[in-house]
Amino acid sequence: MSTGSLGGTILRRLVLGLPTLAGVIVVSFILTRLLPGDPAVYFAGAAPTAEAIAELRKTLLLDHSLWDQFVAYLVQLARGDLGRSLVTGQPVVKDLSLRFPATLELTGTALALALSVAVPLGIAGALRKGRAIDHICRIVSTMALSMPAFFTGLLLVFVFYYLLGLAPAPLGRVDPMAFPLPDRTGFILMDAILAWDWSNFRDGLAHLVLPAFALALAGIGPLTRVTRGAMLAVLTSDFIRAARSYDMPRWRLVYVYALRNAMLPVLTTSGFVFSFLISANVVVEKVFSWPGIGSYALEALVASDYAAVQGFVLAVATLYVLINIAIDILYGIVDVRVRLAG
Amino acid sequence: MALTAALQDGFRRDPLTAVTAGFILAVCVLALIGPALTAYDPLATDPANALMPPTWLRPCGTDQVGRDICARIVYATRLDLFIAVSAVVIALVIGSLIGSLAGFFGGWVDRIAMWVTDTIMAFPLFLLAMGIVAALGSSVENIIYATAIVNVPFYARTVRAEINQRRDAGFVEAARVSGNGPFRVLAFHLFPTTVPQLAVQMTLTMGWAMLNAAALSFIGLGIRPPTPEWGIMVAEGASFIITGEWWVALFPGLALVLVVLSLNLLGDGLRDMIDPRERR
Amino acid sequence: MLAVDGLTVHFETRRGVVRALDRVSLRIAPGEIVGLVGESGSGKSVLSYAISGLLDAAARIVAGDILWYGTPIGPGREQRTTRAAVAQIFQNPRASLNPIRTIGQQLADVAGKRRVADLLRSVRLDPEKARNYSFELSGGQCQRVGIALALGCEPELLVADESTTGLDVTTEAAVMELIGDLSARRGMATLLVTHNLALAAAHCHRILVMHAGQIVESAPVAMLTTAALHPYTAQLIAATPQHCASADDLQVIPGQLPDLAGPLTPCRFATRCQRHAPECDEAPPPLVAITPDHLVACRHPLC
Repeated sequence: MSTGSLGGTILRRLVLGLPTLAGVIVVSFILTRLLPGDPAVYFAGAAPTAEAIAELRKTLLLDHSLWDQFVAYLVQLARGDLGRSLVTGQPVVKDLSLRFPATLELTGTALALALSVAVPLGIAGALRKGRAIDHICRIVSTMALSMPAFFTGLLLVFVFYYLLGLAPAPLGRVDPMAFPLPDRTGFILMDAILAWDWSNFRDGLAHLVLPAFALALAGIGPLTRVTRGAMLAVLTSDFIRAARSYDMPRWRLVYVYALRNAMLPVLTTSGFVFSFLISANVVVEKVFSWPGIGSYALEALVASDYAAVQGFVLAVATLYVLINIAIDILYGIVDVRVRLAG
Repeated sequence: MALTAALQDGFRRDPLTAVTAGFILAVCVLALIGPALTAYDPLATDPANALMPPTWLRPCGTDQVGRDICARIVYATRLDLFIAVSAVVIALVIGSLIGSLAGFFGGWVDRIAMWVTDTIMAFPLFLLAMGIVAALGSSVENIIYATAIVNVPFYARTVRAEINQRRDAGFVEAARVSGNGPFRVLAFHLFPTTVPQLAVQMTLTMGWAMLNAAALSFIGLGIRPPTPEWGIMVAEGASFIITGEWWVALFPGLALVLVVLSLNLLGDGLRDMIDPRERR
Repeated sequence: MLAVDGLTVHFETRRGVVRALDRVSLRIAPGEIVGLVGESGSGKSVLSYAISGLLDAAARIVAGDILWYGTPIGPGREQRTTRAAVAQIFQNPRASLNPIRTIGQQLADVAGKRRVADLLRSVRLDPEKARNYSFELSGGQCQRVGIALALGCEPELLVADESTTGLDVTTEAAVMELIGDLSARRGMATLLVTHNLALAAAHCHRILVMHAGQIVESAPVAMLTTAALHPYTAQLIAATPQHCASADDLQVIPGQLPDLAGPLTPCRFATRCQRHAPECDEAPPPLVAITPDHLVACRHPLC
């Protein structure tokens, strides 16, 4: 259990993730060159001047061979230059750095919420199979799978904002009238804590609750099912039967023996659920006017803002690779066989 | 026939699945003949009667331009069902083809097929569908193609796994030895064994395809108004939620949820029926 | 010590009710090594799980009792008010170990950290192996760990369910020798469940023969091998290579085990028996003692 091997694992996984990232970069490059028209115009942003376009043509080496263009493209990427957005006129990188934390805060909270509901529920359902809690577990997971995130969001707004008046209006991350927060991390809750600003913290939290819950419900469906299924499978396995024959105390049997083994399929599903939540983000951001990358991508697609779309694709692909690496590492921590096999 | 007997037996043992199957059947009938039965024209605007709450005459109320919501829901049933079924069938055909070839022949065929499906699956699927529809343009066909494409990897993998599992079974060997060429063995002997598993997956992904299409329309990339479709109807009703006119968004949303829920329950029920390892 | 009286167990399955055990009765005295022999599917494992309290949720005890020193104990181990000191070792040794925990940790979970080294030594394994995982050990080593784990519970009865079936002959001999040795030293009774009659004959004091969920014969080893009374036992013996001069002499037992979910004759061997007579179909044959330690359930025993 040396940390050396853990560091090595991380490095190895990062290296393994590079081909996927490379593939995405290549594909996005090809796409921008396949589009009709002058790529320089697309990347120059809104209402570019003729000089700006000429400048960009030189930087992107558009008058040279395709290979030179690709190298120039890579150089651009390395410098962190993803072009300018047509819609906002800003550099895409700046747009993303503003929007990304908003989505991450929302998705992260939603995933944490989903796991904290789905895993205990799935375990309870598996342990008391056929009893009341199991039926509740199955009903909840099936309902959650059948409800689109946009509908859940609207229902929540109707009940908690319109009927009960408990939640703030679905108009974004904070009350537009509130004192602005110093922007340090981009995460409202984190920034509020850092600035000891409790009213802003409460306000940010109040705005976060409903959309996080709507998004979480989308994740609860698959996660509950997988947890319950995995627990059921493990509970009927040979080594659990053997452990029972050694009179192992129930808490150790369930939590140390059964649960740890059942967590493996749950981990792999979490990766899929995260990707699914990123997708569902788009509709939830629309319902709650959340200024995240989902709505950014939507506006970009509609306006044919290629620089923004490409930036979005690269950002999401990178996030995806990193999440998968994290899951692989977690998997290796839980299951020794994977770790030792590299 | 053995299949209908098995189905009947299964339905008898599991009444919930029978009920949901009946419900789905009713929805299909509604899709087919419903439009002929509605009292109101789904596209007829009537501004004087805009945003009327549900009454006995108009069980779902009217929307912001006075159109009858009930009628629109009924018409939308046909469209949403059509999109979901078409997308799933196309995905099934292409996916089965890829999966069968990959699972049966292995080698480089398998590697290429897996590379294609992995590339598609490497990206969040709904976002991919969004991109495809944005690139191709908003129309019913494009939504169907986009939804089909993002579902192909799933079917390809399922079929590949099933074929792979049975590739070296006795009956395959027997079929080969009796003179059938490899494609005949694959098509007529191996593939039919995957049908039960595929039927289950079909009902499950049909629900997902429906949610997909509705979500695409909700964000404005799918069906365009004034065509009645559950997703757009919810989108149109969204702005009225905060002013209290809940019926504009709720009823189409409820219709969507009920149909998808039934499809999911039916898929679960079918899976329980054909899974031999289930003990009561 | 252990008494099973008329135990009848049914399983609820999709196909219907599987009548796995029918009026099974047996006795095990302290320190005895008893063999339970039968074909695959004869209900041996069901009986061993019933004794250990590890039956599936789908199992129902329809009739009969399991008694531990006279006190009835239930089918679910966790629900037993009187703890029966029964431990079990299993058929697939590797699958019976937790794959993501070292064997040292597993032994500590069962018997406490301080006894780990001693337990490993008692099954003739190097205490250094405590740091290994199950996938790093051979099948024989895994089975020794299984025995160590069972011993960690200080059992008075060890149920060995096909515990050497997956192992090669040399390893099997070593494991059997270990079990016999431990049995003798600790005064531990053993129920050796196996389909291998020769193995049982070599290591047991007494053998019970099972067929299709029914005990058909119970006798000391010497009597069973030389003077078997039940037709099934006789055919089993005739089918083992050790008793034949050449391969041509091997007899195959006709027919197959009856389907325990379908209709069953009172004597479940009737359809395969050459001594079958009309009266065999009237009622199930009771287990009678021909001599005080030789019991047989047959209306036409071989005498």
